[in-house]
Amino acid sequence: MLPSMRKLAFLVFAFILIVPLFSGLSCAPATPEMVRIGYLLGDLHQLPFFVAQDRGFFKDGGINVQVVGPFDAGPAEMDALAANQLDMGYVGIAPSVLAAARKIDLSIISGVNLEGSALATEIGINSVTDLKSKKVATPAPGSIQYVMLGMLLSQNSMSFADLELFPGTIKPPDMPQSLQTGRISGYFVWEPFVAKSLAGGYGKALIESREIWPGHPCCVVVTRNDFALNNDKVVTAVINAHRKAVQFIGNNPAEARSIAQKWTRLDADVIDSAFTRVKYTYALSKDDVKRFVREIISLGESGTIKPIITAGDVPDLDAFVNKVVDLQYIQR
Amino acid sequence: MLANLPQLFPTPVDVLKALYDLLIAPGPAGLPWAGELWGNTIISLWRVLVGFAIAALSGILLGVAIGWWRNVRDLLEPIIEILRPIPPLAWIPLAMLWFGLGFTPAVFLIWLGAFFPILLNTVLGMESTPKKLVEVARTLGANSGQVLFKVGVPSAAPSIMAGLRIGIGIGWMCLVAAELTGSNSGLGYLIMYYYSTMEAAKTVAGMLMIGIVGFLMFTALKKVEDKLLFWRVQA
Repeated sequence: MLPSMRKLAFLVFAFILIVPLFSGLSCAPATPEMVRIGYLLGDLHQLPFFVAQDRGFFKDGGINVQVVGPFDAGPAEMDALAANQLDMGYVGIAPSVLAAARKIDLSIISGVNLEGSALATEIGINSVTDLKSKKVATPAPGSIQYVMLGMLLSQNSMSFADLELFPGTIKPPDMPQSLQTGRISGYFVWEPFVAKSLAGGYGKALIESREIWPGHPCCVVVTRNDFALNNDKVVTAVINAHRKAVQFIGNNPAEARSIAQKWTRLDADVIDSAFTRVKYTYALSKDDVKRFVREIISLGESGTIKPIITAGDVPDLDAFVNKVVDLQYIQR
Repeated sequence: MLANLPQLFPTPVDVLKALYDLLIAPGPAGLPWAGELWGNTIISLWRVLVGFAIAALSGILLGVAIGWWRNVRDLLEPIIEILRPIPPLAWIPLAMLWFGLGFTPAVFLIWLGAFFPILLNTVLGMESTPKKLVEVARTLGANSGQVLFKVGVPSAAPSIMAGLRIGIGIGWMCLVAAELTGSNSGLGYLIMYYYSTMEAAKTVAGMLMIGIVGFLMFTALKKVEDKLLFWRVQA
């Protein structure tokens, strides 16, 4: 074989080897009637998604949903969105704002729930200050619960340095068992994993997230902007189905509970207990998003938490929120 | 996808800047995360050294016994062959259950990762001791202890050292994986943290540190090997 031919053969071989490595990242976008939606592991906040699936609201709207997930935590879901593995996602407001601040091209287009998280602790813990030097778990750094724990500590003149914090290295479904076995003294997480410890009798909800910030936003629906631009009808249909699901939960709590049981495989009393802390909605407020960004920046500046978003990441808050929050779909 | 490229693929300049930020105190000094790459590297190194030391001690002692005495081998080989194929990472849930969070489960996983290569190489080295050498030693009046420690172990030394080098590499990999679960410090945790806060450059900087430390440990062990086994013929 001539040297030039050998070189060519090598190049072809290298090309064949390298191209498949990137094929996963550049996979073809979903067909117009199909949408890939992600969700979080066992998160009862995302019940509207389960209800819309279970009751066929997406199908009624003429869309074919390909479910992607569940994801352990929001940041991983946002990475999947950035890598074009997802078109839309049910996710916490914190990772979506974080992703937008990192220049991931997405929009927050609907609310899913307000409130609905809590700091669960051992029975013997009676105040936040009792948690000093204790092991406390949260979902991934940058999740809403991580930020709200920071807010709670700040309100009690404490910081993350006062705890032995395990952010993101204990999965939410494992947190109740970790509390039960004494490996941790508390955890701040989404429902139903607070209700599970309460039902088991080994934990209590020391502080609910609504006590830290009444009516705080929690889960939202996000979409990749390039997907929304080319699939306006699909996104509208998803949000319509989502709205229908939220209304269904309000009007049919018993049926909603049985759907929640089906998706989370938890007992009815656990679901009922969790329901008392979660408010389902499709509404979304730009002011809430603004407050959230201000909180996360100030927590970093005060040294309560390691800075996640800085003022430098969001030089003009109004412009940032106007760009990231798109209310047109819930207003249609 | 293209719009998100900087987030997905940080440039080498971004990674170098991230390394600088993580090594030299970022933000106001005195904060717990100032110079955090150093602190987490030291934590990871300490864990791996403890786990590796226990693995080396237990692997070599057991390997010598299994490789030298047939009845020990017959007794222990089936148990080892059942445990060996279980990937160390499959032990993570049990490690957390038995040892809680943080240091001890990580050391346990490193021990698991490093133990088997050290053990198997030691067994192989002992079994490969040339029969002639043993016979010569016996003819010259050596007792069984002398034959074991003056002939068997030195003869197995190159194989044991190879096992140690493989063991430390696997132990290091296990450590990083162990720190992703039930941990709140170390290089594995740091990578997870910055992955979660979507700071890809800092994630890659942490990975780079893992590579650098792994390389340095391997090189150091090679130097020790060359010094200890100076009598070997070098290529």
